[in-house]
Amino acid sequence: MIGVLADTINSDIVPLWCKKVSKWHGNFLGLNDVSLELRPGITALLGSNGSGKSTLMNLIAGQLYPDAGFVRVYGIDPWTWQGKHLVGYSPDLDYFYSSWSIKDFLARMAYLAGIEGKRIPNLLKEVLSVVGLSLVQSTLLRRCSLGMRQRAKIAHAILMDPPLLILDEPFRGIDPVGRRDLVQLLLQLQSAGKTILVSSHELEEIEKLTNQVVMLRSGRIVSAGPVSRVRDRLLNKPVEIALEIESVEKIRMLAQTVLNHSDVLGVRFPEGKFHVLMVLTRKPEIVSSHLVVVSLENNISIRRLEVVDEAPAEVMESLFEG
Amino acid sequence: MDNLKAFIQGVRSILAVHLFRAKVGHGLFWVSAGFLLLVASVVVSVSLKNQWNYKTFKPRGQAGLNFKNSTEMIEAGSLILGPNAGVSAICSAIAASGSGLMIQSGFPVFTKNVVFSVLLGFLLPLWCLTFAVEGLGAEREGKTLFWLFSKPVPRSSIYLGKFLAILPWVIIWSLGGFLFLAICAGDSGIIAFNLFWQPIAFACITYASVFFFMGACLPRASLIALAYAFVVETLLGSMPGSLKQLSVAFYARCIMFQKSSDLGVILEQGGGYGDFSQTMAICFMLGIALLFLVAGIFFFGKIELRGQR
Repeated sequence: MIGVLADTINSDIVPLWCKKVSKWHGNFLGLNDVSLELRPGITALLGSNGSGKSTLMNLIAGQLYPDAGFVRVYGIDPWTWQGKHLVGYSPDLDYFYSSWSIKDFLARMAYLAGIEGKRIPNLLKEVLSVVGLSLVQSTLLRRCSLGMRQRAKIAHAILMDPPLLILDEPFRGIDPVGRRDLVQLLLQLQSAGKTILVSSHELEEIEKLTNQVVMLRSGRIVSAGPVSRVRDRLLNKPVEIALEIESVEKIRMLAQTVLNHSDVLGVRFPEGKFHVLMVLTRKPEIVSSHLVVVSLENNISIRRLEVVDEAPAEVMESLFEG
Repeated sequence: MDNLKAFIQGVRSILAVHLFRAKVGHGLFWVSAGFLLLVASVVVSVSLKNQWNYKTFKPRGQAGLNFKNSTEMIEAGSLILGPNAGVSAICSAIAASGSGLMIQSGFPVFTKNVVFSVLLGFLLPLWCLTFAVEGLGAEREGKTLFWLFSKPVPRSSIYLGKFLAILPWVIIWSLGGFLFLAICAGDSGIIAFNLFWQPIAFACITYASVFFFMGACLPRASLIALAYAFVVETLLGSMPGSLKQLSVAFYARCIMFQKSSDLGVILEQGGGYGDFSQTMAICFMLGIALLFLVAGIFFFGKIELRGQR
């Protein structure tokens, strides 16, 4: 693939430069005085819902215009049509021309991007193969699964072979095999010298991709650094185990016994659920086993035992609270 | 120079991608098709009764007898006046000329009751907004505009390209509707179509520009366009005095008024339709179209895609 403006890019210029960028959404400050400079390679953008990730990505992709500060992609304002040549954007939106097939969608997008008509079939063949959509290219977009549409968006982003890729939640809806392939693809693109900004809640995938992380909270960059730091904090975060038993009478006795365990941080009784005990711990595996043993010893039959899985957004939020 | 090249290339590519892909089958389309069929059924019913003449229609603003009653009275008068050959001949001549007038009166009757009032006052704006509002409005509401904005195409090219892509649909749907009604009306309708398709086409271009602007730049554009069509074109357009000059239909009526005057048919006395020459009326309509096109390009260039998720 050949970038349309590949020859005109000055490698000395910073691929992405945001300086004191602020963006209001009505009365809500979506992004507050953000400065960011990216070099070639993969950088992950982390933050909870509403932290300003998509706003920042939309500004970089030229879909929004900053109220203060500026964004430059290789020295060019991404709001302009010239800037759009340099950015490949896979947004976190799920709206398509639903009556078009995947192939038609990509062909028309390529044509709109100024790619010569005779080059488009070969280009599509290549891109569809890269994202694993070759066999389903004639499927109408309205009949595609979330994963297929996600791949189509990634194909759209890399179609023009731009030097800067902005991928908003690219792993959402993609199966494990697809995720592995996508990680490989992004690593290949990184090797080819691309600058890639990825936002995701999937810390496991992010860790495979990059060591560079930018964290946003309430529209501000709160930290930037290696992903391992994030991972450690995530592992140390306490989780709750929900234990539901048959006998209401024995639940207080069970709570008292469990509290004596050194790995249990606390217990609580959820309102209105008299059969349920919530146990707070940093080591859910050990405490779960202990709960089973204690129940058996006291002849208590267990209805349900599970680690309460917090929404990724809440996990992210907790990371920033410390 | 690069900007101009990119602009032309952008318009070409947007046209190529969107020209034959107008959205048909949405709510407004069925509403406008429904109104076409409703009016066509009335026109067919009048045609079947052979009533496209002044036998049953009275000229606007005149109370009392219609033409049929008048000629019947003249014929009756000749009988009452007796066997006087001179008087009888005069009465017969008046009655014959009245009958001739009735036979020839289909064109003005159809024009005044269908083209001048129903078509220009209501149907044409509705037909035009059916496709024009959807041009970029559907992309905005369907949130697919993002895909166009992510391409290295100037915003002005997107606006103009999409406008040119919907324009043939607007013209074909509107002129097609007019032709359909004209065929339903028979010879009178065909005469009216041959004489008036040009002013209707100019009105289509102007309406397309106005409604396309609304679709591209305003939220809830369909409702605003319907309100505009009803308030400005239907109500204001039929007001006495100079207020009607605010409506696009007025300028189309000016051209039609003068075209029919050239044939010796005065469509509406005192409507002010003779105040503007045909050239002036065309200039006004194309001027309005251009104004909205430029305003649309300006405002569309500043649109940000908020709340896409």
